[in-house]
Amino acid sequence: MKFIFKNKIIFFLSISLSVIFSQKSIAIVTKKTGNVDYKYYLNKSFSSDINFGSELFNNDLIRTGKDGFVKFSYLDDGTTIKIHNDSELYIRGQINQNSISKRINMTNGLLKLDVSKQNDDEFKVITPTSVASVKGTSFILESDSDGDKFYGFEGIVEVLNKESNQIVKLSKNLKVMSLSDGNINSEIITENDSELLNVFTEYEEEVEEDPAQDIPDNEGSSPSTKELKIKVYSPEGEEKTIIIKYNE
Amino acid sequence: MIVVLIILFFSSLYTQIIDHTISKEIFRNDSFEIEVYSDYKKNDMVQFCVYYKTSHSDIYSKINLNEVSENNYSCLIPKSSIDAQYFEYYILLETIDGQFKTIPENSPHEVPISLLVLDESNIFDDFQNSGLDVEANIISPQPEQIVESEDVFIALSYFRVEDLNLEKSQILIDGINMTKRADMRMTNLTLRPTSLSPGEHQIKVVLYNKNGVQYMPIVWNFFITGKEYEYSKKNLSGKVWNDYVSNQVDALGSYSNNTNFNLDYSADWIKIKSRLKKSSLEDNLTQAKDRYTFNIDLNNFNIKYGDIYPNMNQFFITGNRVRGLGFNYKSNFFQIDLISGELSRSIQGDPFNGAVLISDFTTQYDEIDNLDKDYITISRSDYTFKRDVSGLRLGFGNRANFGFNILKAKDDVKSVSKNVDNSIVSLPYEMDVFSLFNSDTFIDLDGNGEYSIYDPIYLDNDTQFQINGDVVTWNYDDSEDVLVHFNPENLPYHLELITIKNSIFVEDCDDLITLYGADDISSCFDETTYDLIQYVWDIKVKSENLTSFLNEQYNIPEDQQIFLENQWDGDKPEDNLVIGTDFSLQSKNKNFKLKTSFAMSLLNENIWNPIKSVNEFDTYSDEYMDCQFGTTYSNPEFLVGEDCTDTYTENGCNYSDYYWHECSAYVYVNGEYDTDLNLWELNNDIEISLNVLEQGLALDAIPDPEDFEDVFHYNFDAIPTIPFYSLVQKAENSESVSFSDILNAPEVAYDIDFSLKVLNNQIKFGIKQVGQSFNTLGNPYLQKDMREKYLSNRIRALENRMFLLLKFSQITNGISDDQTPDISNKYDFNVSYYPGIELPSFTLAFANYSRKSGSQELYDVDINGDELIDENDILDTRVETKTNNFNFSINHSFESKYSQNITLTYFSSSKKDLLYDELSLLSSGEVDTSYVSPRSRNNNLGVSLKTSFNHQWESNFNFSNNYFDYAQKSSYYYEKQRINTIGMSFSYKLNENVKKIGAGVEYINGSGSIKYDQYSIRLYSDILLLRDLDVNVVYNYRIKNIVASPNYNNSLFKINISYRF
Repeated sequence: MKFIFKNKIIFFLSISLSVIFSQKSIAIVTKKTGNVDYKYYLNKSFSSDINFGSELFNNDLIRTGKDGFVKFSYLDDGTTIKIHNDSELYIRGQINQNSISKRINMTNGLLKLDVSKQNDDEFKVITPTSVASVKGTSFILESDSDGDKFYGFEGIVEVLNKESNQIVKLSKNLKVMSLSDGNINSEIITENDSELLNVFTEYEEEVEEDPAQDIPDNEGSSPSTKELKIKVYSPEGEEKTIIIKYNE
Repeated sequence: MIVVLIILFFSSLYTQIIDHTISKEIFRNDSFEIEVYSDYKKNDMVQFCVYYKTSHSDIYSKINLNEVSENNYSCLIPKSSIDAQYFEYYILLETIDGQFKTIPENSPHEVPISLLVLDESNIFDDFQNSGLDVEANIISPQPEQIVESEDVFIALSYFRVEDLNLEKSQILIDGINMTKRADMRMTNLTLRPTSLSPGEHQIKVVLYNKNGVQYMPIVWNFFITGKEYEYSKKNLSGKVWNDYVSNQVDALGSYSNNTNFNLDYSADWIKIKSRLKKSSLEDNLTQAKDRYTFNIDLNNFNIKYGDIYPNMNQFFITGNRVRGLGFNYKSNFFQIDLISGELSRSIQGDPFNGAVLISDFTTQYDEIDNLDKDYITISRSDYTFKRDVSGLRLGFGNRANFGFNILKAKDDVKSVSKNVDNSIVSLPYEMDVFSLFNSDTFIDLDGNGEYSIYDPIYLDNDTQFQINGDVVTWNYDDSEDVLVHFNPENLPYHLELITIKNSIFVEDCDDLITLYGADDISSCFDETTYDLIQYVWDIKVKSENLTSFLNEQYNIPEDQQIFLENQWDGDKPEDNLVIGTDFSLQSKNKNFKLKTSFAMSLLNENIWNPIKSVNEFDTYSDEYMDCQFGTTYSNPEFLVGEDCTDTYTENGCNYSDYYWHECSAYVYVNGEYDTDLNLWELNNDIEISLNVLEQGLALDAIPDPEDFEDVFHYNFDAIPTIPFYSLVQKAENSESVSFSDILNAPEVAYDIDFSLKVLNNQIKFGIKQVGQSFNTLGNPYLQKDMREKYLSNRIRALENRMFLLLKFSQITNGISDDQTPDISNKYDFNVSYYPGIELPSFTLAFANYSRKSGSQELYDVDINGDELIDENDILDTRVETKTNNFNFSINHSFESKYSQNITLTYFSSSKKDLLYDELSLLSSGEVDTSYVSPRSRNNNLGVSLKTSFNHQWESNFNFSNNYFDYAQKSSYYYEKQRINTIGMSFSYKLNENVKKIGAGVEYINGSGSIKYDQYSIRLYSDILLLRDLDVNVVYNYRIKNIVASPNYNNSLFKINISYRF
């Protein structure tokens, strides 16, 4: 009986102490669906203890399964990262006085990043192949063993290929491909990329603003501008259309 | 026999009670504990329970009260039952002698206790705009964002703000305080609300710095998609729905059908809400069941018409329904609340069941006709007066707010008619004039229910029983025997032979021979209770025939039939006036708060009696016509001879008689009345010198009641008879009157509450006292004659994850009794720990209650039954107990294959009888078998598990074990009960139209004093038939098998159909 009582006290105290002495969180999870594994920076193993409102700390590791999705936001400026299925990344952040120096170390997967304007430090996304430096933009990153693909929606991203040390700038409506062999180049988003973009509409259940609004209406100014229309359906069967304008 | 009489005598002196303090706060979707005090012995109770319902429903649910400590009972109303605007309940105690005690005392089923269900926001203070900006990031949802309902998640980061005081900081959604549900951290807060409807919503976060200064609130809106969103865009919207409930509980069956109609209109400058309810239970023999309310909101002005529930102050009116008009205006520095309407409507009574009755029969000698005459008094009963009420509160100020309150409630005596058309009047067979046809009363010794040859005649009505074989006859055993005595032209409306049973305790069977002439007492046993049986004729007459019937059949002419114009048998009309003030003060940072209120009341319990003049006070409390109220004298023996005050001016007096003249007493010698001067000449009459023992009040110090009859109907039925009598007495005697003298006046009620927030502590202390003569008809169940002192500290720790509550309270009942008040001391210690979303939350509570009451009093009667009257005849009413309660609960949501939520609760209560060693033994050292110890033990264990398999399937499992025992094992009254309950249910969501279908089963096993098994099955569904047409059905069937008692098949069927537009 005494043993049980003692154990209870230890359990009780350990929970209390973990709360007291934990380091400051840098982000919180605002959405989670499907299978997601999470490794707290102090732990050695993964758990599924991640949900709406979970705090994320420097060096925490997130791994999404086939149907997994996580969205989290940094606390200093609301920079939001959406992690799609089959992705794995470390969340890193150094707390300065009034801001967080943010970094994402991604091994593979698919992300959408909405990075708020960074004041002092650049937001860095590091993959085995590339380093992307961001001041404030919105883009998609797809990474695998062959390399990375960056899709630009807004602002400027500098993409450095680690192998070749070449830098290419990603801007609106552009796609940057950074390959493990050192090659890096950019091209305009085409209709062939619609499949990837469709993935985002499946996961993002919020009724968000039409991404097409982010793209300036160049119709009339450039005869080569074309439209990519993607139809998506809500669970209730409601039809929505995403329009992406691109240059051929 | 003497012992029995003594016990009866003292039991009437110490009337047993049930008592209940009505809670001031009840919150939506939060369980609610009802605590009741009763000094009835458990073995005298057949049932002790609470009937409760929401204001939406007309069918009550029943829950038993469990004893938690000596004479203290409680029950927990599940939070699912507290979801409407008002929560209504009453308490019922049924005793083994067939009595029913209820709170409220009168018509509890029709007029139950009604509590306004508060949203958390209702206890929330308005925020100030301090102008202090806060640097915060809205993370989710974004302003004006449209989200699906299952994705609603609120997150706000205040990463850069370092001096936050999270204990004060709060989050509101649509004005409802959700802070308790939020996870508030040093850098951010998150909240996942579960029950927001589609439509537009507003989030408001208010942060404070460590100095207690409030930052500018962070406010943003977002939308949830769905049909409600469309409705919220409409200016005109509404809902119509119907509830049908059929309920069978043991032998009681009931059903109700309610149709409701809501219609709302909203514009920028006005909001109108109308609510109509038509109930099948509406009956003019009870208080209204239909409801209607119209609410017009013009921002600062609010007007309500119909059924309103004002909440002025507990000493005035709180939660009671008023049908009438309510008006409210609120600005920063001035507030006004006004109500006018009726607390109850008039009810004329059931014409077929006692609305008109014969209340009295007397025989008086008529000096004119020189003979005895019989008089019949006819009265009214079973009625309720319309009770008008008006109330006003004027408030001044903001953070320092002073309020003046007044409440006036008065019964309208004209609202009940003397005549009730087509009523049936029963002739009371116990009255001499109507008892002619009654049989003799016999003691049913052999218990066969009818007269036997050796049954002694207890009361001889001269209607001799005769036995012929197995047939028992008597003079009026057939209706023909009765009717033959009546005029065939004017026969009664109803004639029926009924059997009246009473009981008699026979201590010594030999008494039957000596007292009742019994011939054979072989079937009698000493100290046994036997039935007393009498056969009587119940005769009923139509009211329109009553006069002629009494005249012709009973020879009572019309002029000897007195139909009372007032002073009827039912409730007397009352008048009540309550006036008072309230004051609140709070510091700018709200760390300090003071709230206090003071009220005094006047209640007249019978305004049929006329208003008194000041002169009538002279002889109200004594016979001295000394122009004083209540003055007593040390030498009243000086008033020798006869008092001839009534006649001295006309006929003089006999020599040495005395009379009162101009406030002085005189011995009559030869005084005479001068008719020329119209003056009494004293001549040699001698003034009697009376020495004042206790100074009363001079009549000229008493205001004339006739001067303020419009304000209050004042006569000797008023409580108090003289307001602040002791204070006025002191003033008359030139003694100083202290502030505590005012507070302790019996007609005064007051409370003071301090709240202090220091660091992580919220300290509250205060006092509440209600004098024994304080009455408010607006809150008639306010406990009187009591004082409560309390001190508590609520401590927040570990970044608001741990809450500690330390509380002490002392409750004194019977403060007017200086000798033996009932004092309870309560110590509570609660700990709640919420480590985080992913971790289990704990609550732990310890309580220690002690109670002391009663005394030892020496009586001049044989209390102890030793046939001696001596110093051992002490009536010992002492009770001294100590109760320890322990409560532990743990709740944890986790993922283990599926989404799970488990709740474990354990409760243990042990009450010790501290006087057991002293009172359980007789002076001879033997065990006193008549002593019933108030000790008890109660243990409860409950487990429930909720599993969500996916968004379609969900299951619930629950198990509970309950143990209770009472009294000492050696006592005849010892009892114990164990109840095990196990049940499970599931629900399934097929699609958006079949929102829920489910079923559940439950098994309950009771063992111990009452052995029973109950099996129940529950089926339910929620189906959207059409786009806006929703049907909700619940069916519950229970089979209850009780050992050695009748079995019951109980059921509940509810169907709700609703349509929105």
